[in-house]
Amino acid sequence: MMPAKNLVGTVLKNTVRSKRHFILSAFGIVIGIWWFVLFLALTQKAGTVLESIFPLDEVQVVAPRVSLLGKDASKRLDDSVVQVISARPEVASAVPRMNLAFPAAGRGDFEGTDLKFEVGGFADGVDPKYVREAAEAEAKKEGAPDNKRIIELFKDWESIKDPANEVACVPPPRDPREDIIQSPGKKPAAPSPAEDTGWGPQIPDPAAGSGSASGSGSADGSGSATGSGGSATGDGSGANAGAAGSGSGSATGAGSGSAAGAPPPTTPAKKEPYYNPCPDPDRYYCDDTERRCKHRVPIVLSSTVVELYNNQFAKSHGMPMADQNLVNMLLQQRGLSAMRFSVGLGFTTVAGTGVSTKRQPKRVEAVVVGVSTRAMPIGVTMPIEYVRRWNRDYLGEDAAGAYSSIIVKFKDRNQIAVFSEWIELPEAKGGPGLRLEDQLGKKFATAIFVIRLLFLIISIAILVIAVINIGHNFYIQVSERRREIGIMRAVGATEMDVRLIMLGEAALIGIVGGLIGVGLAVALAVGADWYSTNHLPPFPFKPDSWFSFETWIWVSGLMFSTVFCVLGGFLPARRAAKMEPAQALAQN
Amino acid sequence: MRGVSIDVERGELVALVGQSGSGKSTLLNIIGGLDMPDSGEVEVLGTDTLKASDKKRANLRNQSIGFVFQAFNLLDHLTCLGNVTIPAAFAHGAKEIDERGREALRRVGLADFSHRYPSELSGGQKQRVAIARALFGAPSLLLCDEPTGNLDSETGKEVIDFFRELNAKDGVTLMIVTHERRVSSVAKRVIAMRDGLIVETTDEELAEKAGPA
Repeated sequence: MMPAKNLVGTVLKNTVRSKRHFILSAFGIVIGIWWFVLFLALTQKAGTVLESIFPLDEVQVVAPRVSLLGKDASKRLDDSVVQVISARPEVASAVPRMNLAFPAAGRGDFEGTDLKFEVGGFADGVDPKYVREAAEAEAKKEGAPDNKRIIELFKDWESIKDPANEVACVPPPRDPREDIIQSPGKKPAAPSPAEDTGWGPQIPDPAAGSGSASGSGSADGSGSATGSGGSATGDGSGANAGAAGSGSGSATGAGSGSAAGAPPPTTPAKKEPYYNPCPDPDRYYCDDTERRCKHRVPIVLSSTVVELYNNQFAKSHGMPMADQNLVNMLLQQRGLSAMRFSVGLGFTTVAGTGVSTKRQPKRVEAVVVGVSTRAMPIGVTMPIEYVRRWNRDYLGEDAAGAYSSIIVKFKDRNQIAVFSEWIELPEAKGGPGLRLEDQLGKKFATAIFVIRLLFLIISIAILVIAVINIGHNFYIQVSERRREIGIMRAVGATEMDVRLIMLGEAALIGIVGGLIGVGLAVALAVGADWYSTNHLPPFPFKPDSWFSFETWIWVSGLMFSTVFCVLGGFLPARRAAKMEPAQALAQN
Repeated sequence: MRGVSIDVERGELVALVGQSGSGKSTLLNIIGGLDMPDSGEVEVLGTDTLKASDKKRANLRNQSIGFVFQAFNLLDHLTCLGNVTIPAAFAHGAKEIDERGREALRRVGLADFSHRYPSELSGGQKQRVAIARALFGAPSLLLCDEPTGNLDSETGKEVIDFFRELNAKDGVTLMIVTHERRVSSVAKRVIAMRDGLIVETTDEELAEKAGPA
């Protein structure tokens, strides 16, 4: 074989010499690789976004819905079912989830707006270890949030004894006409609420509401009594309407009931933290009934909730929009006090629901500690022991042992089918008689897979046509360069040399064509992303970039391109090598 | 070709004469390893070229055999120097390639033509570039197929004189296919062929009787 350096030199010289041939041959390859790489990157990104919404390596086991005379008669998912599932050989882990089974409502302040929302039906509990593990795994990824607060705080604090913080306390007085989830209130030294008159409604009327909200509402829970409308009890209403969850009211306003009627307009609202007698007010609150400091209930949200808030709710309700990651942004800016809210257990914002609970409504405080893939899609997720306890307290032992679903993770993804068949086996036949929840993620993943396959087939078809084109062009080249090939043989080229020169030229077309194709794909992607950023309205899960040019994608693009070109040049190169030099050199 | 059997000694200058299609070019190509007989034995410079590998034959052409063709067979996209040094691309450890290429051009009297292209040259000059290429590897055997066929008599004579000098001074073995008497007249040995057979192997005068090819 000729020296490799000479081979490369000869290939380069020949290619530069026959530019037209080169361009004609490379054209198809460029187009093929362009689409190949572009759609691979697009569908790759779609898959990544999808997996961030739906975890695809696990399934949820639920009981088939059965109703008897309007009553739910579905099979109960309890610890025995969890044990049976865990014992299956293909199952790596089975983690139960439990819904909050009675009404509850939340109230919190967000950026100066008093928000009330239903929690019952939109809350569940899960093993906190399960959430923390996911947070730790995610934190290791590049560019991911550190999830420090989830790892540190997503625990069942009731089971953790902390005498230093769990001290006795006197909760601030509350307005008896306010609902149970009213704001935490002010210092007990204030005048008794019974003496006050003119309390605003739960949701303040426009006059009082706007006045008080502007005066007192702020995310960190500070406020002043100066903006209390015309009411003589300005401090009270300010606290009401301002920041329910995080609290407002100020020491200055507390004793100024008479003066509040004519607030001095020049006095700026003095920011002060709301009254919290606990040693660590950032994490602990004073429980109204136990009169003891307790840790706030840690809450994780799903990215779906955050996206829905950002792209739908914030707009429709005139609320500030958080740029990238709402929760992380707020936690970073203001610490834990930013994302706390009250939960009224046994209390509902939905009128007309009749649920009898064993207990009087009670107020607890919660705090959002982060965004987790393990949170329920729409709602709030907390450590399961909280839900279990509350269900027991409000509904009884039966509710404390019934799970809403069981998340099953497999040792191997491919065993889902085996498991699925077993889980649906009716009880009459000795099976568990359960079912897998509709796997929306799986349907989307299948759709993306089909689309990806379709585009791959199209680009492979383009590439095959390109290969045929290259083969054809090289055949013509071999005929046109008969004499040249003969001369090379006469002065010492072996058959292998001739073959390698032709294949080298084909490979060069592949490499250069592939590079151009990849370059065009990246250019088009940058253009599309620019258009998307500047001209498309925001929507949930709108990505910064629609494409994911992972290394393997463009490397495989280049490899495909080169391999296909070499394939196209294979037969012509063989023909060139097998050509009789004497005939090639014969005159005319 | 049938029953052809010849021996050529080192340093001989042999002319092959005969009519078109008599097989003289084929014989030359077989000797050079550019063509393969169906059967027989060929030994060139101590190598059995029929049994040798393609690589070995190619190496022989690269190092020890030079070809000169009637149609010159230069590559138009290369300069004279580029054409002369083509063999270097297929040689391992080739050194001072350009120097040796210029030296070869100087020997054929075209020292100033290194950077000219074949299209700028006359027929005689082209053939001299082709000869320079054949001489690049300092071959001991030069195979020439109608080297003067496309040249006028004056330049043809120059080429023949050059060959004679090459044979006399450098001891290069030459085999020249020709149908020109003037060429065969300088040969020390003339082989006449007809219909793929060697009809006579004799001296110059006998060759003349074979008539114009």
